[in-house]
Amino acid sequence: MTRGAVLSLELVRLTLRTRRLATFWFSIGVALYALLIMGLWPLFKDIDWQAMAEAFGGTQTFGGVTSSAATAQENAFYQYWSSQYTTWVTLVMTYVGVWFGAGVIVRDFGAGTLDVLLAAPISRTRFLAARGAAVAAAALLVAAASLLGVLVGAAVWITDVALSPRDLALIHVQLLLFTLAFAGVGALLGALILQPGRTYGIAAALVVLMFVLTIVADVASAAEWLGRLSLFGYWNPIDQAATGAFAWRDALVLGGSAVVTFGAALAVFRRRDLAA
Amino acid sequence: MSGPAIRTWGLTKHYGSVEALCDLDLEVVRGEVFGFLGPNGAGKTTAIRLLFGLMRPTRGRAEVLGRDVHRDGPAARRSMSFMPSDSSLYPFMKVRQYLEAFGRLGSASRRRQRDLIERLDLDDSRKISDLSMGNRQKVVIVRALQEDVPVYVVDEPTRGLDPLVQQEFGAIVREIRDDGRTVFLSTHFLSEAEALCDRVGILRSGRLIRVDAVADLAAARVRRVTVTFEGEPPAALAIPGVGNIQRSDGAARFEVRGSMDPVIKALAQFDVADLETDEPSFAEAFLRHYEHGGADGADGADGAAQAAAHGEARDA
Repeated sequence: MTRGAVLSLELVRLTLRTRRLATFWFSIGVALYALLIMGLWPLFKDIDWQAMAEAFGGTQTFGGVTSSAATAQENAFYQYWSSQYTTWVTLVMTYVGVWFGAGVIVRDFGAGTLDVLLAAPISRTRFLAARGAAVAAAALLVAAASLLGVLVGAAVWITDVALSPRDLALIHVQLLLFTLAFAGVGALLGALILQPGRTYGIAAALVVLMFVLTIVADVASAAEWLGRLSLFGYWNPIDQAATGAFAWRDALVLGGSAVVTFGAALAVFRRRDLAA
Repeated sequence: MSGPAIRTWGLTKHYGSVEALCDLDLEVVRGEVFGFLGPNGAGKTTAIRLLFGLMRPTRGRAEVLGRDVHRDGPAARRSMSFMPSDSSLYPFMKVRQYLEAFGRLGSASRRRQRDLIERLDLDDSRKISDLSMGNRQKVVIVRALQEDVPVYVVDEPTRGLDPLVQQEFGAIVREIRDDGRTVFLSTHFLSEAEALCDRVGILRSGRLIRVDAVADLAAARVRRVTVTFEGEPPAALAIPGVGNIQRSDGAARFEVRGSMDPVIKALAQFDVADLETDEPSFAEAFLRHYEHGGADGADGADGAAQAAAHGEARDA
C-alpha cells in the first residue's frame, strides 16, 4: 500500500467512490432527459414558443434565461430548449453543486469519518484541494453526460435547426462553472457551520434567495441590479447559443466565485476546531 | 531516534469559559501501553483530538516522536494511527473496500490487515451496513491497527466487543508493545487499563492528577481489614496507617493504607481469632484519587463511581 506523494490522489479516488452512485445517476438522468427533450422537438416545433414566452411577460425567467436567437426557427428551438431543458438542468446542477460542495466537509463530519481522514498524514489544505478536485470531476461528468445527450439527440432528431456542437459545448462549460460556483458556496457554508442539517438548510435558503433576486431583477427593470447579486444572473445559455460567443464575463464571475468561495472555505477550515 | 513517544507541555483547551483540558504535562515512553483513565467528560478525548491536530490548543504544545503536532502536523501524524471512539465507517462500502481505501491514505500493511482480520474473525466480504455493532467495532480496530506506525492512539477500543474478542484485542495490544511500539489507550474501563497498561494517567475535570505504574497504583490501595478477637476488641487501636475503625460483635473493622506490617505487629499483642482482608480493587484505588480531588471532587467522584461501575459491570 502506498502513501506520501499520491496521498491526495487517493483522497480524490476515495471521495469519488463515495459519490459514485449519485454521480452516476445524475449523469444518466440528465443524459436521458436531454435525449427525451431533443427527441420530442419534432412534435413541438410548430408551437410558437416565442409568443408563449411573451405571454409570460416577454422572457423566460428561470435562471435569467433570455432569448435573442438569430432566426425564427432557431429562436423557437432555443425557447423550447430553454423552457424544457436548461431550466430543469439548472435546477439539477444547482442541487449537485450545493450538495456535493457542502458535502466535502459536512458529510464526513456528520458520519464521524472526518476525524479518521484528517488523522491521516495529510494537511487540511491538501484534504480540501482533493475534495474540491473530486467535486469538480463529478460535476464535469454530469455536465459531460448532459452535453453527450444533447449532441446525440441533436444529431438524431434536430434536422431543421443548425445547432453548433461548439456552442453547445461552450454552454456546458458555462454550466460546469455555474455548478462549481454553487459548490464553492456549499463548501464555504460547510466549513463555517459543520453540522450537515444546518448547512444544507441554509444553503437551500440561499439558493432560493438568489432565485428570488433573479426573478425580481427580471420583472422589475428598476431592480435589475439585484440579478447581479445572484449566481443565476451569470448563467445565460440561450444568449450564448444565439450569439455564438463565449460569455467571458459571466464565466469569469462564475469561475471567480468558485475560486474565492473555495479559498474562503479553506481559510475557515484550516483554523476550524473539530470537536467530537 | 530517542526521546518519548508522546510529550505534552501545558497542553490546554478551553471551550469558552469551560476548561476541557488544563496544563497537561505528559510523557509517554516508547514501547509502553499507556492508559489514559477518567470518566466521561474528563478531557481524554479532547487531549487525543489535540494530538491529531483536530483542534488547536488554547495554549501549550505537544510532540509525537519529536515532531510538533501543530507546526508539523502531517509529519507527526505519519507516525500515528488513530482509532476514534465514535463509529467512523462508510456503511455503503464492503469491509475489504473500506480497509483498503483507508489503508492507502496511511501506511497500512496488507500482511497486518490479513492477520487482524483472521484473529478478530471478521468477514471482510460483507457490507458494513449489514454488520452488527460488535463487528463494526472490529472493522474500526482493524482499520487503526493495520497501520504500520510506531504509535497507536485508541479511544475506548473494546466498546461493544464480546469477551473473547476483548481478550484477543488485549493480546494484539501486548504484541504491539512487545514489538517496541507505543499504545496510548484511552478508556474509562478500569479492568481494561489494569489488564493492558504498563502505566496509567488519571484525568479528572481536565487535569492530570496522577501518573503511575499500574503496579504502584494497585500497591497504594486501601485495604479493608476485619479482625475478630477472642473476647472484646481493644478500646484503642493506634496503628500507623489505620483509620475508619468500627467495632461490633467482638470484631474490629478498619482500613489500612500502605503496608500491613505495622498492623500485624500491633495485633500480635492481642488474642486474635480471625483476620480477613478484602482484596482491594483497582477501581477502588482509582475512586480514591477522585475522592481526594479537591473542591470539585464530588463531581469527579460521581463520574469515577460511574466509570468504576461500568468497569465492574462489564467484568461481571
